[in-house]
Amino acid sequence: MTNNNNHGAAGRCGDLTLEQCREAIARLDEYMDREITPDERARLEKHLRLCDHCTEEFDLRSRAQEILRLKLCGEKCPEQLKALISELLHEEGRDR
Amino acid sequence: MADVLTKAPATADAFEALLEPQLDALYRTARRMTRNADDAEDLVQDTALRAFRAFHQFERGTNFRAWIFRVLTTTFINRQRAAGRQPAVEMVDEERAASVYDGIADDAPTPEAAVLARMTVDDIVRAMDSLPREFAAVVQMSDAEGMDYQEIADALEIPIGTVRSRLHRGRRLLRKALTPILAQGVNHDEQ
Repeated sequence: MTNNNNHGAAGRCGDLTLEQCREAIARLDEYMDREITPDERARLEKHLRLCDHCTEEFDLRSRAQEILRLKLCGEKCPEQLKALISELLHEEGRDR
Repeated sequence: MADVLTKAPATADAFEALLEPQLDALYRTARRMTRNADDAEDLVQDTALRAFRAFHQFERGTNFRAWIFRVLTTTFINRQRAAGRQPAVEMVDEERAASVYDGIADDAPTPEAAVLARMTVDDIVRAMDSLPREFAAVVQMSDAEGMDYQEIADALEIPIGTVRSRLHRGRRLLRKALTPILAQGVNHDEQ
């Protein structure tokens, strides 16, 4: 079973059960993507206020996500391709 | 005030004004689909021309990005078919994918931002290229291009639930693919 929240075998994090943490971690990405319902969001935010481990994982993922976005956006459409497309579109436009 | 819903003539200039801001994102997503710079360039060029020819079908005032990405997807699938290849974007049998990819053992841990920051764009591209194309495309559209799930679903013409599952699996696979590259980077730094 996947467990990337480092909560250990004790399965407890204060008053929270490991199951609650698992559920929170499973929804983290969708929470970050703003793709969960207001109810789920409220429940998750309540959990994050109470759980340092899940908050840590949330911070880690948010930072990783931002770096990944910047790196992935480092790839650009080659300028000569942009120029060629513009030329072809105008040629096509003239033929109409 | 100009009515945005009024049908503007489909001039090259009007089309280009909408297309130009999307070209980088289209190219990157084409790279994920084709895994190859030359094929990605051909795909983007084809997409632009096909979209221009079909521009009269685009409803002004609606989401151009979702529309042009849908043209990209269709063009990619047609090109794959023409080349006698299975069109990867729509090929995944979700049940099979679940059994194959969810069988992957423990998730790789979320990498530290500081370590990720030392990676080159090529490192990340290499890791993305190791993912099944349909997963890489969804991760690209969400995590780099900032498209929401519905927009991705519209662009790829797949259900939103499929977007969720591909994104979930795609991110897991990406973390896994990045792990050895990150380790190499750290070793390299230590030398």
